[in-house]
Amino acid sequence: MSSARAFKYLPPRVADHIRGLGISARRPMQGGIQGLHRSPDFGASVEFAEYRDYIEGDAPNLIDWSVYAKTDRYMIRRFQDETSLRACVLVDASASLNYRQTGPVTKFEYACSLAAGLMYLLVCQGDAAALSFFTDKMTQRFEPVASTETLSPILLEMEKVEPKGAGDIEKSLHEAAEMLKQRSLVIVISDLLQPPAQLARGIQHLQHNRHDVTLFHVLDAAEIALPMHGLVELRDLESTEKLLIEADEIRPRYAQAVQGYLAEVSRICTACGAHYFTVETRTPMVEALAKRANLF
Amino acid sequence: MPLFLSHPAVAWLLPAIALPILFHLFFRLRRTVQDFPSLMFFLRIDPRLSAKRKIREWLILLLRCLFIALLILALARPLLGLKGAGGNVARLVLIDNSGSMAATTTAGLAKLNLAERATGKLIAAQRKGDALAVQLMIPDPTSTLPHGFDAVPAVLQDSVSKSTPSDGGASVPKAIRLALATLGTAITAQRELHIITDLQQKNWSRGDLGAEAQAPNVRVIIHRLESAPVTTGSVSLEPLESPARAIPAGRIVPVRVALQNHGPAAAHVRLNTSDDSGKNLSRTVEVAPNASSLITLTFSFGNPGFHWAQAWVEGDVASTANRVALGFWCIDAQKVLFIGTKNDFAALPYAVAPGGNADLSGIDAVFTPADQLIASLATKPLAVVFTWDNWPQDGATSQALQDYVKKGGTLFLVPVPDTGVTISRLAAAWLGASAGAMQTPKDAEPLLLLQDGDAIWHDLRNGEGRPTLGSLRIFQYRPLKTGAEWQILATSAQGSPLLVRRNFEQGRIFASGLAFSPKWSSLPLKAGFVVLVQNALFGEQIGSVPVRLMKAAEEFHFDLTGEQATVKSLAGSALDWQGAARNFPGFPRTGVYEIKQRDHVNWVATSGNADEAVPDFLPLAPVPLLHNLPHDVVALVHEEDLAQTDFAQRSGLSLYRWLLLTALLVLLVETWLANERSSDLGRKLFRSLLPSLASRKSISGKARELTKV
Repeated sequence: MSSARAFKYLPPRVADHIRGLGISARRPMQGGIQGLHRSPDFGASVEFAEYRDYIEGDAPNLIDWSVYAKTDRYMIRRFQDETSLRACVLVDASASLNYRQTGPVTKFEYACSLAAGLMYLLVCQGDAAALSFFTDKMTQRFEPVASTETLSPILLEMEKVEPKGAGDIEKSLHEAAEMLKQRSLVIVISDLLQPPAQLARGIQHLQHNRHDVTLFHVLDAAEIALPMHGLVELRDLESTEKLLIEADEIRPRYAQAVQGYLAEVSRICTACGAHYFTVETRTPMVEALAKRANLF
Repeated sequence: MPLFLSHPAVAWLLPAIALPILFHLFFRLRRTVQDFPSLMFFLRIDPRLSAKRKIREWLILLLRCLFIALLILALARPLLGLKGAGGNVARLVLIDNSGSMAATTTAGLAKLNLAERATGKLIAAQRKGDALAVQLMIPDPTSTLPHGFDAVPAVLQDSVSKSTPSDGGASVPKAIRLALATLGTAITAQRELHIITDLQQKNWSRGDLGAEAQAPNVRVIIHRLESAPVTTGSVSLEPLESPARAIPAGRIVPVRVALQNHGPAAAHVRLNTSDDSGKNLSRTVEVAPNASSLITLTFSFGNPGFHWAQAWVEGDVASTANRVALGFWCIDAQKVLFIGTKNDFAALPYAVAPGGNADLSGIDAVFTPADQLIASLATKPLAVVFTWDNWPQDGATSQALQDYVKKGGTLFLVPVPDTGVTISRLAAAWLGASAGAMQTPKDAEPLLLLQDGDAIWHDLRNGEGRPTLGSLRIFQYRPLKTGAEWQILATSAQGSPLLVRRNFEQGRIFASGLAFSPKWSSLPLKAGFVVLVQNALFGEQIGSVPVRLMKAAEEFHFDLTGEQATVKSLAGSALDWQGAARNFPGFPRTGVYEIKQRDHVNWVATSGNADEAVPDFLPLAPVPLLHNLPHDVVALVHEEDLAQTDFAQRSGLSLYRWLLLTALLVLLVETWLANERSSDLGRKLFRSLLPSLASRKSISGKARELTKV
């Protein structure tokens, strides 16, 4: 980053560490400029794609004369086009992310850091990255940026966002699917606190629109381990509903329920062809980003 | 079914039941409150978590409270009253033996007689293990009733049958307090107090039971005897005025008595009197209904010492309320020496001896020349009266006078009424007083009486306690000059002392600046003048007469409480009692009694209580006097009624063991429930006990959605 200001969600130390990482998409992308990613179109790369018969109107310099010499046919050699990709990072800003128990930061702060890191990676490799916050709908949207200079204002704006309100991931994903007209890499960063069936519908909508979907499931370790003891009155961050529990008594069954839920979400994502990663707020940012970056 | 607590004091611990609730609330406040991203996993696990826990918490809490309550109740040793059940009971029968109980019931039987018979039935019906005691509402020294609950039934039966009505009014609150105290000594937990009474209104409206009279575990039953309606006169007799001082022998003593008719019809009765000399008199008296008649009885006793007299009404229904006994303390006929001639003392000799001799007052006025004073003093006169102008100038006479006063004599110094003499002779220095020159104010001055509480004003005080002799005026006087040892009893309006007194060793000296002549003041013209002079002569003897007049059954205290005493009746109700003075029950009946303690002898004369003749009775309803003592009032018409009431309420079932057992059971369940979460067996049992809870599904919206997934 050339900016002199240290961003909250992208400290220089993290930026330096992740600069070498790269992010790619599973599906061919349609970018506006030449890039690193496979395009569904043919172009002028070094990667051979196919041969086809010469058609009148084709430029004669495209004829593979070696093939003509062997087969007496005018064949044209075609190469895979490489393009840049458009990515859209969707960050859950519902109140449930405003939770911190065992990690160094809240889930929302971690999600923002993750989003900033991903966007930085994308920009660094010449792709365009957009950012949106959602709760039960899209609440804030930033247009795609393709350079670190244009990324900086977004990083600054991110710092002003506060998580609040009830979340509805399915609805937000439907809205995102309708909003994105071009094939994109859609990265959803959320605590995914919604019944898996609803979640699946949202992902399927994005997949159906040929987007490449990646889900980062941000969790605080306390959500899995339930480290409190004795009589505890829990207050739901989104609904303010209260529940009195005996933590020690309920812990095993709770952990079992959470693990079952995570497995269910993972299964759904696999079925939908989406990438799914669970990250705890204690996980170092580089490590979390590397999970996605080293995928291909 | 009534519940009685054997140890009711333990019930004060009942507020401890709240302790588990307080602890619960305390620890409930200590629970941690924490934000959490979502409750959906908890609801997915077991949406009934909270409700189930709450139910168990409250169940445990309830069991803890129940355990404490049962434990406290068990320690209080409760007894459940069961009809017809077994069990022992301690009963105390309190018989009203006041004067009104001598009257008859509607059945024509004396009320006390019916009470005795009913008590007899109760004694006969005792079961093995029962305890029974009988007390009289008015303690009777002639009664042979045994104390406490250990009496042999036959002895008790016999003693009860010999009870006779008293002549006094009962102190109901005191009697009930005593009865409750006696019941408190019973070893059986079930206790009953049976009060057999006619509920005579005067008796049952007097005094206050007090808040401290508690009767835990005691069932109080008042058996009301139905009194026969009074259609004739009902006359009471009571003395209004009686002599409070020693009476010189031979003096005629007037005693005013009041006959009051409380009945609805006129009373034609005979009033009889008798005295210890055998003089008996009788007269017919007619008293209109609800009216009273005042009669003055006169007595005279020729010899010094104690004398008594009696008066009673014959031919009336209220026989216990119309008897009067009187006691008199007579002394020898006295004489007062007047040194000089009769004219020197104006009206004073007439106030000393109103009839001119000792016939009326028992005091004779003797005039003696000054030179015979020493010889006359040998006859121990009651008092010696000198004039200021006639004071002896020789030392021997003065010394003799001084010795006379020192030994208890009374000396009077008065001016000579003759106005021509204005300069008195010099009085002896030991007197410490002298009379000044005559003063004649232009206008008559009032005479002011001082020292309100002094014995000289006895019988001369008004309702406010101030001495009054009517409008007293002084026309001339000789102001007295006295030392500090003199007490001023009367002064002029200008403050000049006119009547003073001083004590001189055992005797007293009165000095007057007024001659008792109408020319000097209006005092001799007043009716109270004679009383004043008599008071001055007898002085401190008033009230020290060893005779006490009181009403029957009134509280009596001996002079020497800690000593042994002997009480014998001289007239009236027979009594011969001996014992520690503090144990003497009192005088329940009319009579004259001689009391001996060491070498002291006193006399008591008691009269009936006029209230007992009032034929008003409380109805068959709760008694206001016992407003803070739960009780039942039942009619006692036949002697069997008492026994029937008793057996209906015999109680027996002790709940101690049952409560203790239940408490232990509750403790067991509580322990199991409190540890239920760590015990599989407990959980299974819990679920088997509350299957509906265990199988109930969530109604929570989120939970329902999760279940679908």
